[in-house]
Amino acid sequence: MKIILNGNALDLADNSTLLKLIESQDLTGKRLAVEVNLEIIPKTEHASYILKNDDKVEIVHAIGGGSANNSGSNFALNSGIISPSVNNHLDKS
Amino acid sequence: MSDNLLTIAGKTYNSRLLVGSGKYVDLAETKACTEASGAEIITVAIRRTNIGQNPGEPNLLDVVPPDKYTILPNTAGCYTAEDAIRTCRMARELLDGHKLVKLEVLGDEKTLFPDITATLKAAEVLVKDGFDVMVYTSDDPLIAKRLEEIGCAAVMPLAAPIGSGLGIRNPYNILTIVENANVPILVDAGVGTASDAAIAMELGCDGILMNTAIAAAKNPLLMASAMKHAVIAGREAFLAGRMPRKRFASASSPIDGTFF
Repeated sequence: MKIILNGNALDLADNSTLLKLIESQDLTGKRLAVEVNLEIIPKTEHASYILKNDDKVEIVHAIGGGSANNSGSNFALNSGIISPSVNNHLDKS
Repeated sequence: MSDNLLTIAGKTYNSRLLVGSGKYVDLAETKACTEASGAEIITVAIRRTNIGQNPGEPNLLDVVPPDKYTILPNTAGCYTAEDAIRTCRMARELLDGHKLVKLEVLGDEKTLFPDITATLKAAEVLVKDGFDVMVYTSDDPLIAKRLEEIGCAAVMPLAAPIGSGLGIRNPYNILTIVENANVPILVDAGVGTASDAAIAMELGCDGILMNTAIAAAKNPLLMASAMKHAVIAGREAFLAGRMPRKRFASASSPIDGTFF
């Protein structure tokens, strides 16, 4: 099946859990939050939550920012008003 | 000196300087400047995790750990109430039920002025949802009061546009906001150098949130320290109460007893 992860298409085995997806992206144990189709899935449910074809998954974390820092991909900006063209400094490490 | 403690949403802080964690060269600089500023509340942005890149990359929260600092997730970059509310809810999940957030809903890319109608709407929803909302707003005293009435934990008027470093452009409005308030008032945005921070504190502000003034200084580490001292100096001057201004001189040495 195919899902959309942070705006990009991704092939995934049928009936994969959210935890499986997180593991496959080397994000195990990282401090993050997950939304599936605009609904937050609490950490306690990642192991039992089964993804479906065409699910839209957003995985977010905390980055450096003060006010109106436009760097990084803003998961909330669907409108395209701001293009996330400037990568945040964490990308360069 | 309870006068020197800042209380926000029931929690007290020794430092009245709040700092952002953006615009630094690397995480080492973020860590060093945050420590030098003495700040206890650090604002962070919420963004997509980089997929498939640098799996071992260090995380901001490793250098600004939530067990040492109060993390203040912000809604920077949000232009609608819906996006800001969504960001706050993601932050709450990210930080294990953490309720303190910095709400900003921007209206315009050039000025980064807040969209006030959307800010009021988002604040109402977030307060009802149990968040402790520190809200970025314009320097309009009526709107500041309205945000307090909605139940925001702190109101944070801009002193000048975000990242402009233009200083306290309208001290009389900031003063009016401070005088009217029953919640902490913090200047958020516009401070450029230490004297700006001192002026804001002398007006009676409860604190200042800044990022660019430190991160974009030629020596960010030294400016972080300067800001720490400026906020303390400004607060003490406010508490001390300044002398009245006079148009003409008033000698400090006695006139009696002169021998010439």
